[in-house]
Amino acid sequence: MRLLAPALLIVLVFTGTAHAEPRLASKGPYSEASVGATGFIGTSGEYSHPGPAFGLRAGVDVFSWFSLGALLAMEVHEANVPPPPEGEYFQLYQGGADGRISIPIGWVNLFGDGGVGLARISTNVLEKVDVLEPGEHYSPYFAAGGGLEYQLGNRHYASGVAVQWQLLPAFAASQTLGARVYLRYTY
Amino acid sequence: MSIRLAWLSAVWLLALGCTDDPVYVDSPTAIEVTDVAGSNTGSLLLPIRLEKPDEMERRAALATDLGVMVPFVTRDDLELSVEWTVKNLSDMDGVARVQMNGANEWFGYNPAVFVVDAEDEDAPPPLAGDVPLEVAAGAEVSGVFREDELAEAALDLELITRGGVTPFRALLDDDDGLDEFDAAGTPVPSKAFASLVRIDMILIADQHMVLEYAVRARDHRDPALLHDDLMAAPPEELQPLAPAEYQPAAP
Repeated sequence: MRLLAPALLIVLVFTGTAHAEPRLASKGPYSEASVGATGFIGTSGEYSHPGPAFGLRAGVDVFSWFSLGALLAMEVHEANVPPPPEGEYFQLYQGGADGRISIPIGWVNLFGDGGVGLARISTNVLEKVDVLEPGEHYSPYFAAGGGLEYQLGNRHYASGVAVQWQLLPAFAASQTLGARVYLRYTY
Repeated sequence: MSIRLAWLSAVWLLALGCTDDPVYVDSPTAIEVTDVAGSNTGSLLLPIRLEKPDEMERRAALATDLGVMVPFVTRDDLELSVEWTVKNLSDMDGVARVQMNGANEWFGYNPAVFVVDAEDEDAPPPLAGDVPLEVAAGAEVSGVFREDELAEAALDLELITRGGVTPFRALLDDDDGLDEFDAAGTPVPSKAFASLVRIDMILIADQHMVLEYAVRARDHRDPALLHDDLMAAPPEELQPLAPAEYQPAAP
């Protein structure tokens, strides 16, 4: 609920400007940096706490409404397994590709995205609760999400908020749900 | 330019993040004390992979060069810590003590063998632990033997065994900054200090209690010394390590 209220406020602010004239926005290669929070959901959610997430994207706007990109991301979680061990952290590193479809509404882009890639978990701390098999560190991942992007006055810059769901089939089909804010620079 | 730098930094940080990540080796069984004022012991031999021929050659060359035995698993290779939890399964408050001993690839430490006259002498202390813990009925207490404590324990074991130092002196002195020790007239440099490869945990309790523990290892060797499958590794893929219990020379 605490997260929902600011998100709704942002939506209201953006939709309030939706009838405005579209702003000039660069199209082409872009870079994007994001920070946010992610947590495991479902059964795996019992075994770790939500944690910070950081991401870097780069790609190209293939059309005005469609872009392709590559992603490097990292999440940090505190494990919540029956002790011992206790209070241990693990990281989830991800690298992959994603595609994004945008619908421009004034100064705002409403978008949906999806991606695939490879994730690496830094430790075997979740092996104890059967999320990992012995020796298992990698899983493919499938991601889907969406968000709102606000075109700033400078044609190169846009910022946005997004949510993303992820499935990690090799890690006992674990799922994560995250939210992020980002800044995008289009060349 | 700054964007490119940010990307390069991110890739570098991700690569750096993947190095020396900790590995957790769970104890095969819990250690249970059911008798009042009883004790019980459990051991965990780390699943070390087989030594490769080139590693064997390098180790033999170093041993010849230094004139001392050089272990396959050195203290610099592994940073170990032990996390443990004691659960009081009884309906009475109790006191527990958790002790840790261990072995390197040559020798194990058992304080009891240093006692010549059981009536007049106390056994030397364990390599780590032995602090009384109050554990309420049905409650649990967790703790950790830190990396620096296990590094000190590994060195203490070397001093007691190859160095011929008495356990009291080795365990009560702070030897953390020691660069070398004397083994029968030959200096043993720190790069030839052996790591612990076996962890012996002892639970002493006055109520029905259970000790569970896990070894956390940061493995600096490339390729890693710990087998990928850890305790699930096939025995034939593990280095045969059979440390002997160290026996002090007769007085």
